[in-house]
Amino acid sequence: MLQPPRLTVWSSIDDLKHLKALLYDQNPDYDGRPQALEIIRAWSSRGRLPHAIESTSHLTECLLNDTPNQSELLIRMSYSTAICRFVNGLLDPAQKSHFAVSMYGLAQELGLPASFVDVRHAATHEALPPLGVLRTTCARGLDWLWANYWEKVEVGGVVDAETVGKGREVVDQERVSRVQGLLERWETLKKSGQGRYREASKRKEERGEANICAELEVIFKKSAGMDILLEILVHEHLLVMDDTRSMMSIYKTTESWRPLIQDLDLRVEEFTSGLFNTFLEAMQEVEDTKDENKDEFAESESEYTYQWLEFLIGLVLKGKLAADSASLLDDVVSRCILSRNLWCLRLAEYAIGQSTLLETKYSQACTMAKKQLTAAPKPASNAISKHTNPNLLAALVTNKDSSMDLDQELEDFETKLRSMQAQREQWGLIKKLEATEKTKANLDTSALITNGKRAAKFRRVESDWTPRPMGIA
Amino acid sequence: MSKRTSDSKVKAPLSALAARRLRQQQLAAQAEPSNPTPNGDSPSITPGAEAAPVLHSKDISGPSTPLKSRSPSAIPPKETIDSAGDTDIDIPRQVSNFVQTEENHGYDTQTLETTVKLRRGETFVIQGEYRVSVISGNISIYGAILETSASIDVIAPSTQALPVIECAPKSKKRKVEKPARKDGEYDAIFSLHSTQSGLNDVGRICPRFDRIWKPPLTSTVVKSKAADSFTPILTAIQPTPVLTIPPSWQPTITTLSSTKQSPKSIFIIGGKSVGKSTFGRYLLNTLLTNSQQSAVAYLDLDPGQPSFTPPCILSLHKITSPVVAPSFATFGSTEVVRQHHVGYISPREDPKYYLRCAADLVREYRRLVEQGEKLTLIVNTCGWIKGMGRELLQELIAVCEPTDVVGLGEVDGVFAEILPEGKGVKRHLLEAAGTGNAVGNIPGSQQFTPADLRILQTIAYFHQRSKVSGDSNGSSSPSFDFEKHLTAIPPLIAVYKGAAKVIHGITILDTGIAPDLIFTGLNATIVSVKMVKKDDREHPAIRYLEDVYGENNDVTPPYIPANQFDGTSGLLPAEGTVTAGLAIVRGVDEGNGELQLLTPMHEDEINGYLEDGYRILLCRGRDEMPVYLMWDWRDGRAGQKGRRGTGSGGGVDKMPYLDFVDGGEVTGKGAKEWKVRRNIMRRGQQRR
Repeated sequence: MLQPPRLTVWSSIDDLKHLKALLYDQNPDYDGRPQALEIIRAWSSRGRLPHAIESTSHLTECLLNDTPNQSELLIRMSYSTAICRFVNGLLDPAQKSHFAVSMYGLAQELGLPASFVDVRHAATHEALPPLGVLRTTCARGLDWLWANYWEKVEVGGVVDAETVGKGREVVDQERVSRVQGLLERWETLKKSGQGRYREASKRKEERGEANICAELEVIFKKSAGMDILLEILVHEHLLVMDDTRSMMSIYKTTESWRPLIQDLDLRVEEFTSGLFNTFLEAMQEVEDTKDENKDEFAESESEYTYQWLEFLIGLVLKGKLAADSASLLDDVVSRCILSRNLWCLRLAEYAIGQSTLLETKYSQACTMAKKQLTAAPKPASNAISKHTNPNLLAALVTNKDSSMDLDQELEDFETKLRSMQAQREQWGLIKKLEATEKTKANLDTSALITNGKRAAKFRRVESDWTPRPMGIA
Repeated sequence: MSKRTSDSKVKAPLSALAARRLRQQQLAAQAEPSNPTPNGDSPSITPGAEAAPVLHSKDISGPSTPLKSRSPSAIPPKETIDSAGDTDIDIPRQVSNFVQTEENHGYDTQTLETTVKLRRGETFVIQGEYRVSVISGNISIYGAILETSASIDVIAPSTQALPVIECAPKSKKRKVEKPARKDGEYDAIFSLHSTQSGLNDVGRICPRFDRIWKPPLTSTVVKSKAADSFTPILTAIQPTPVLTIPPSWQPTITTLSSTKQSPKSIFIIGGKSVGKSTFGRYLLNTLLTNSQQSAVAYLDLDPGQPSFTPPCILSLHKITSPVVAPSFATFGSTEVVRQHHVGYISPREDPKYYLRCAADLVREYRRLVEQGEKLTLIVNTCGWIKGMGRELLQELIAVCEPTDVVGLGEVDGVFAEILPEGKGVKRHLLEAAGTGNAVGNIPGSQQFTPADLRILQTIAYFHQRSKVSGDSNGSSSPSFDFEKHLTAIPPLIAVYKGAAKVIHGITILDTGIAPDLIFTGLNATIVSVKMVKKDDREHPAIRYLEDVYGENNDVTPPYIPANQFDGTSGLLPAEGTVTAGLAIVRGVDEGNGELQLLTPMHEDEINGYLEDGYRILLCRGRDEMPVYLMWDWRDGRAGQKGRRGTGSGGGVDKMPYLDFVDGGEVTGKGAKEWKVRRNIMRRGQQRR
């Protein structure tokens, strides 16, 4: 699952660094702490503050209010509360088991001196500790927070800038083997999970699946290219046939991988189109290599690859995959038609048969391609053209002439496709231009109205609103 | 209501006969041949049963498919169905006890309607959203009784227990005897029609909630057409909570909906997750469809899980038609008479203000009654019944003066303490639905906590289709639009300084923020839009604004510090203040003195208020901003790219308030909020 970002009370990490400077920088001319406390108060209305920040503000507030004209009891009580909350807030979340572990033990784990626990205990259950003790504890608390939280703020920021700045990382061997490991885990999980219906183990299985998907997602996202990873997925797993080599076994296989595919489809951009790519390439490859020695193995391999593709197309057609299924289908089908590969054509036919929309668009081209393929028994396999465009039907419908020069026709098909694409882009540009002009006009009139009446009204931002993050006007 | 799941650990006593029937039924279910290739040649994934390998699907589209038909007498009585005790045997548990045959279930390809015929005792459970229209007979759903030709829109995702459709005895509302049924042997016939509220797309904004529309795993469903927005569920292996109320509730609901003494005012109390809202809803629907009431007043005093508003709001509603939808799908289906934004999800933080708002809403109800409206009042409360919560309940009772108090769960002690002696308040002590925290928890599947549901409620609220002014009164079916993320929606511009200003005051609850930091606190947060009549000299906010700002329009921003008014919080006094709704301050343009607001309210509606002489104030409570409203997950990578700039001071394309770094931007100790754990036991408790 694409991990959502965390909400922070600060707008950017720089705000936090600024706060840190205000709190801890020793400047003889200016004490930044009152201002820092104001900022923290403003932040606190946005949401929960990190405990370290809250504690720092409490302790600092006590320190600043520890002046001779305040009542001593009041000072002691505020110190005590601040220290208790500091210690409790730190140790409570560290209680990991069902049963309470001693505060001393937890403090030791966290590297918090035991004296804090003592003071907390006294402040809660015994006589209020004397002011001297409280003052020292407060100062030590602020030091501890500096060393354990605030000092990391800078470091965190630097690390952040570095790792993110590098951008996507190159796929290295380590990553490859991690992906391999994960996919193997998936396979064993699915194998062992078959026929298991007990809720507990089911849940465990689901958790396992979710974990694998989440890890894969992260790797896919961080990697500069998915190609290698997809090839591992397709060639080392999806296309590995069962020992039985029976076609029936594919249903079990597709089913067991389906959750993973759907999950990654949802979370990793262009996963599904990449997957199709890899499969189609695999198909082409098999066809290319077999050619001479048409052995049975290659045949069944093709069949197997084909079944996978058909399964995927089925998912897409049913809306179970790929958000923009229309363009994906267009892409796949037109590639298949242009591929001059019998299996790919069969796939195109399958897709066309499943969807009337595709049928109107491509049936003509498909028939033509088939004719051509059967007419020329040994075609040179073209590289599958990468970018194609729908709406090519019109061009083909007119080309009813069934001359034998089908090759030529297919080439026409391709050029038409390209020109159509170019036209489309052009059209989009014009549209955009028109739109901006329109909004300009709109803006002019709206400005007039508001200037004329100076109406105190809510008004909707005019139409050319470009999406922008929350918090940025 | 007991959201009893079918593998409930509680073994309900079974009669020997019932047990045997159950056994037979289970065997029958197991014996049923699993049919992996329903269409013969190319096995395909069954539509509508995504991620759920269908164990045995009954194909209704092909008439050639042999249909398994059991005589209706073999169906065990309903009570035994949920309580299959053998938890470890892997059998699909019955969700509906409807047995599909060619005769009782049909699909019209012309009207796209599904027609279902039920016999008395049969239950039919559907997940999804749909309109059910009764063709003949009477049916009941979630307490509502629908008669011939009545229809209702139902929204039933898996976040809640699924409502059950059953045959019902004739409603008390009409006294005329219906002509004898034509289809003699069926007691009720109804049609199902797909509806589109837009909620189906909630996953576009928050992928976590994508699953709530998917049928339970490994279930037998009545195969729906691909385009149908609903799935009837017959059996499921994954526990599927179905809405059934505890037997003790029905008589009480019948008594409470009797018309002898009316209007009643019914006060519901109980701890957490005992079914208060469900009881309230069941009662509401029964009152509206099975008594002489044409409208019911509903006072919602649970700001943590309100039934008809987003969180942090107390509200009074006038409701005229039954509502069968989860709390995040009800906006617009009621008429909001009056509401108050209390700013917290619990009365704990400011009990005094909570009480004040509640009292104001009760006064509003009294005003309606004085105007001659015969309105039964249902009061739903929050689950805080200990300590100060109990005191609060006592005061609420004193304010509401209910005629009936319904206590769910073990609340005898509470009753004794809070109910006035001998004042003739009728007490109804009922069992809790389910067992405490088990309600709403679906073992083995996704669970939704109250916090999750609040997120869902808030997301749904801000993705409502905004209504055009004019029909803000009255109710309409809720409608949502999740197509665009909020960041892509043009906001409303609200000027806060100068002659054209529309925002006359800003408050921030409970925090003394320095005026120059007000937008540090306000930017990208949820605020409530409150309104005060500008000539209301009694209203302290108006007085304050006049005293401090006078006619000086250029004071910026018009900040009203906390604790100005009633000594409880920075919020405006409930009396004389109208809460119009919620808005997100999506951006602040301090140069031009403009706020950019996102709100489901239409600008014409707000401008209408201005014309009516209202002053608008924005009040920041502690409403939580769901991260998915801040961040478009479909655009996830763009976010990371944007974050790149932060190291060097950021830029326009960075995303404020969002931390994309794995493990957090800051990793020191205490970098997390203090999360309170309440379930830790002491050593002493270990040796029990």
